[in-house]
Amino acid sequence: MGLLFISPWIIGFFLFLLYPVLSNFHLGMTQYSGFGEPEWIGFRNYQQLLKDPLFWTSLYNTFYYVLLAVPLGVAVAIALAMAMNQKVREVTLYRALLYIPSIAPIFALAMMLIWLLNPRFGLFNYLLGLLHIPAINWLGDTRWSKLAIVLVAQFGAGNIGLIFLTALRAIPARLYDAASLDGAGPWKKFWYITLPLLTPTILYDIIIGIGLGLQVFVPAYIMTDGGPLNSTMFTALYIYKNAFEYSQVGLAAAVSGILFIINVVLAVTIFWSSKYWVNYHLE
Amino acid sequence: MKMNYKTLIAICSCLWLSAGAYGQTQLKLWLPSSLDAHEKGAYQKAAEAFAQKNPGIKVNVEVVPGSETDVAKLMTAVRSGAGPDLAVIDRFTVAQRAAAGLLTDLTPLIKKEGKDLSQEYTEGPWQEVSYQKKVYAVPTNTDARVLFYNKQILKEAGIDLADFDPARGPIAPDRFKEIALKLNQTDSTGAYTRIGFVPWLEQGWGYTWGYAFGGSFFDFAGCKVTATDPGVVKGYQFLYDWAKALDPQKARTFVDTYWQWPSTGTLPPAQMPFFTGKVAFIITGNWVFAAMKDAAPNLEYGVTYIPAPNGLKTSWSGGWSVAILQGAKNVDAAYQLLRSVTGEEGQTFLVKEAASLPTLKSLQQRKDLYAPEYEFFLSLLPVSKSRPPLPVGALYWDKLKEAEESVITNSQTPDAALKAVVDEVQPQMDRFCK
Repeated sequence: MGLLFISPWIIGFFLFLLYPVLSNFHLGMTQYSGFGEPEWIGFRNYQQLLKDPLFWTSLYNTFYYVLLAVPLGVAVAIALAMAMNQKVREVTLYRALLYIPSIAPIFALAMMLIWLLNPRFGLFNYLLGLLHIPAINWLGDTRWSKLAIVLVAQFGAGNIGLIFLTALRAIPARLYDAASLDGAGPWKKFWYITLPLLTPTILYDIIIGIGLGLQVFVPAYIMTDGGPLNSTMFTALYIYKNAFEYSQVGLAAAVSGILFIINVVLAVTIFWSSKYWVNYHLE
Repeated sequence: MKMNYKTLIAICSCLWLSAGAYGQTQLKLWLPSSLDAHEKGAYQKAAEAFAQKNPGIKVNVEVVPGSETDVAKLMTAVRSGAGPDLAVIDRFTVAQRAAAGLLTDLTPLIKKEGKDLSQEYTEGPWQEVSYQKKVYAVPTNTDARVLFYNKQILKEAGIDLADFDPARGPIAPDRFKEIALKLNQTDSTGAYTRIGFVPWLEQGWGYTWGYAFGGSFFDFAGCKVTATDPGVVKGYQFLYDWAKALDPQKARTFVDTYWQWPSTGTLPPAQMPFFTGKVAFIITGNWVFAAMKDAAPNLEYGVTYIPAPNGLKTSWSGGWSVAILQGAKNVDAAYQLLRSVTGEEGQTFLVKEAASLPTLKSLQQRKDLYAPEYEFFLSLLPVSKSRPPLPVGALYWDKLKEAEESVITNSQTPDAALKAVVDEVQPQMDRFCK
């Protein structure tokens, strides 16, 4: 009877998760254009990938992105959450304003960013100019292009910021009161109370962030198409191009499989490490 | 159940509507979003004209995300059985889509019609829609690439326009460079505010310069990717040297400043650097007339051959085609629509609305269809080349573009960049070589 009640989930899990994942690994072993019958070729796709410099470039770019975007994402989300948690009358207005960028469609955001990042007329370079820093060609210079994409991702921090906000509000005020009595300033309160008690949420954010980061696609697809010089050719874009532009669905499936394994390994490792740094208990 | 009069009216109108649709064949034609507004309009009109003559057939024209090489939406829709009956497909990818199994073989339908279509269409476009002796699409429009120049900027700089008179043939690349570099302007920081000519802007692809320097991109007899052909290398060397003369980083900043648009879309006409006087020369094609009418109607411009050594008159042509997808529900009706859109009536819409050139020989003769500015483009068609129609066409295109990028940033020599292209594309091509 219990099984019957959770059957919608079980059916969904098997049909929409387990089956596609397994079938993806099967496709990765085939030569398949997306039409007709996949032809079994064993590990040939993997051999081809090992030889393809662009595959390695795409992995490098993706890791670069994840290593930068995930920690920065945590910091921005916590900052947003703290800003949304201020005890002022208009806080609801601030919350709405801070959250708005997260619900803007990514295409609109990317379009806006293209303007803001314009090498001559963009707002970012204007601000740098005020500090006498020479203009940067954000999207056109291989040294900056990945950073520009990392920047775009921060506009979506509001979502995770909301989760941090609920975590912040769950921290009992008595802890801060006690700290105040002991003479702790705002920094000490943040460092010894807020941050440790946010660690479960940070763990959640990191794991979700890595999953999303490894699949980073849309900003590069819209803003750079992988350029300049493949500096924003992320693995997901590489998969997309192989599957839908070059009709190599088999090869694309093989890359997806690799990405999946990397993701699982990273998630499990971080989850395992959490026992050393995550506080689940107040006392 | 108690039924009031509103429910009755609703039921009756539903019945009436479905009776109207009943017996009517439904056809769906998909256009990729990367077509410009004029082209989309022309296809829409061509479909409407067909529907008017065939009251039994209802045609839905839908614009879906997609481009010359990106057919993700189309592929997934067709694969899941929710695809359209017909789609407009870039001709140079027809071989690839056919090899992948996306398209329906039209040969039996053409045979049934009993016409020799290969004689009615010009040769280059017809070759592009054929793969392994079967026909998978029918060409709609074509084009030709030339050098446009801004007369006003040239006159202000005191440059003799006679150098660009087509009667003199193509200008030599060295002479051209001497003139174009004079037109560069910079601001106080040294950043370009105008560049005479950026050879890789707009339609200045690797194909453009490879062909201009007499290169060949594929050897059909040997089934070999020939990106390292001496002519192609010379074309890329031309790009390399030009970038070096401009300073690659500064040129890149200039392009990124004035050509800022998502890579998934096409730059709005009003922002085109040639229209705004940010460049004095540009390589582009006849379709630009449609945009020019909207965005820069008073521009004083001229057209001439693409600069090339030894007076070689070159150009290359692309264009679109209409194909019937795998799993189309009503192949016969779809074929009728296809023939109408790619036939005289449909192509006339494209010529008039979107400044296209026709692929039908009969229409190319019809002088009354064209404004005088088209003549130069029509005259180029006999010498104009096509991209080799290969089952790895999109990959080859992307890799040539990658090589172009490393050459214009001076980060690789043309030889090394083009060798990498061969190394990556040939193994993929080998699968299809017999």
